[in-house]
Amino acid sequence: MKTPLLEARDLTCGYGKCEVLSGVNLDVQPGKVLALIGPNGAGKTTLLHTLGGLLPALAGDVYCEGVPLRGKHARATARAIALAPQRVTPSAWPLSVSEAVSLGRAPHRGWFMPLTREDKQVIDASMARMGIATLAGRMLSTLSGGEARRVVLARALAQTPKILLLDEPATYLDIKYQSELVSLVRALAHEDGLAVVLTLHDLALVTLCADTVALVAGGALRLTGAVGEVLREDVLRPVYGENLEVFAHPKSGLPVVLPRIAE
Amino acid sequence: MVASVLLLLVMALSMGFGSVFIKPSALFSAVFRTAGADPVNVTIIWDLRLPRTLLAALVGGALASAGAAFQGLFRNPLADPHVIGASSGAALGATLAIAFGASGGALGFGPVPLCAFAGALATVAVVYAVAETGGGGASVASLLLAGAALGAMLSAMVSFLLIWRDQPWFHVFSWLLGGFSNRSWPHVQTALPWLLAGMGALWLMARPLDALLGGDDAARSLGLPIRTTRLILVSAAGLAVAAAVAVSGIIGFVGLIAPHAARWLVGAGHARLMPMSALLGAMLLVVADTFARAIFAPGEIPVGIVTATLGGPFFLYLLKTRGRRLA
Repeated sequence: MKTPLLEARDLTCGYGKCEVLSGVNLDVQPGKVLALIGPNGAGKTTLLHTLGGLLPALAGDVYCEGVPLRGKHARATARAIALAPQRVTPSAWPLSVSEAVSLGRAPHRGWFMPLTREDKQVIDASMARMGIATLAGRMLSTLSGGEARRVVLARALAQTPKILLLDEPATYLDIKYQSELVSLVRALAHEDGLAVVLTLHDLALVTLCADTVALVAGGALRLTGAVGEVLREDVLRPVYGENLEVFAHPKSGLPVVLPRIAE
Repeated sequence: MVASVLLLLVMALSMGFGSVFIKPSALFSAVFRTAGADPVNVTIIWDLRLPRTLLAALVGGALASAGAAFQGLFRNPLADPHVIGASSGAALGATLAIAFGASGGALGFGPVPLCAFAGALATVAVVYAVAETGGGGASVASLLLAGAALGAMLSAMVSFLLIWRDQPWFHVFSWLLGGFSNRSWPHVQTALPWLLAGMGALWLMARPLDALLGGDDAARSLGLPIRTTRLILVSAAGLAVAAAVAVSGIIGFVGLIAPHAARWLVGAGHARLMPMSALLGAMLLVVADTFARAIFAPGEIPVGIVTATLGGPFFLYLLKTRGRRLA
């Protein structure tokens, strides 16, 4: 067992006095994909934001390479952990695609230093990897929802993090880009050795890309395990209700979760 | 580059116009005091028009920079330098000084500008402190609301003072509309450090402002300390606006439209937007001031009237032809 890149120990997360999740213990391994699943409003995004240091832990702590995030400088955290937020706030004044992606270098270069040639190479490589190199000069406001998502992902890649947190990365992506996203996430973890944590409401995508699944429900982490251990009717029905079914995929044998129409 | 050359040209033209027209050749020799320059022209340029034009350019640049910063910080196209109450505070300070005949001064400011400067800074500090108590740092919405509420309160107090002490109507009213009449080197010297420091700090904050455009979560995930960033932006813009208002009164519109015009020219990235806004704001105000003293020469009108009457139609025209990029 490799040492975890990111650990949560007895973590309580929430906003101010409002606790959303408590008693969370979680290990995030390098080279692995961890999917957080759970019903709407269960606290997946809250947990993800706390893991990324955007929200302070109410109790317990998050450790990045053994060092607690509490008290760690925000910029140092951002060099190790990149988060692609779920909501891409549309601004009244859009930046260009390359300007938006280049912000990913700020944690490394500082906010006041000009970009170096090395930074520019990282930015170009990130845009190329997300297939948006040809959009570099376009304004964000002129992009489709799927293109805008890929800009956010490219910015996170430009941070050259060790840990990548993705909040509902499949939102707005059609099935072609969903499959590309799955390949990208797997390649980032399995080939580049990043630790990837992502929230997904689409359980079919969870089956395809996760190495480990953590089920969040009822103010706690219910269960953490392999795909086949968590995506089971007896585990999911108490959380999501009775109207779902799990089948074995006819080719791969992996679990496929489908909604069931109430009779 | 082109814009800076254009600014110099506009400033030169502005110095030529006035109750005495000075030809470009005579203007050149007067500015650089070449041998054979007309001593009357030298006096007009060096004692009257040069400091005034410089001050108009500096104030215009500062108001436009602050406007661009607030529009970016609040992600709101209607934000202008006066949104968080600096001007209402300055107005109350100035009205108090005029109504009670304050004397003395400090930091190189005369009594009225000093009270205006203090009033502006105090108001910004109160607005920030009130918004801050919401927890998690001053939120954008609470800053705007606190600014509006305090602004309304201070304006009411100005009106009350005007009615209660009924003599200073004209004096206060022309101050409130803003202008550069009788402004000279001491005003330039006093305001220069604050205006330049404010503009410089805002330009340095270009990349954090870019990061804020994408939303707070995105900015935080890049390691930007949002709370500190807001405090720096509000302080820098607040200082610049306070100094500008203290020496020239409340000049509207420049800080609202110059950043929009700049965005149409160079896009929303603040590294280019900040200097372009400052240059356009400087040009606009120099032109407006030239009109203000040339139309009814030798008398003049408050420059705030000119900026609104000329700026209004210009803004509507831009909105009509290119407005889709605003939404």
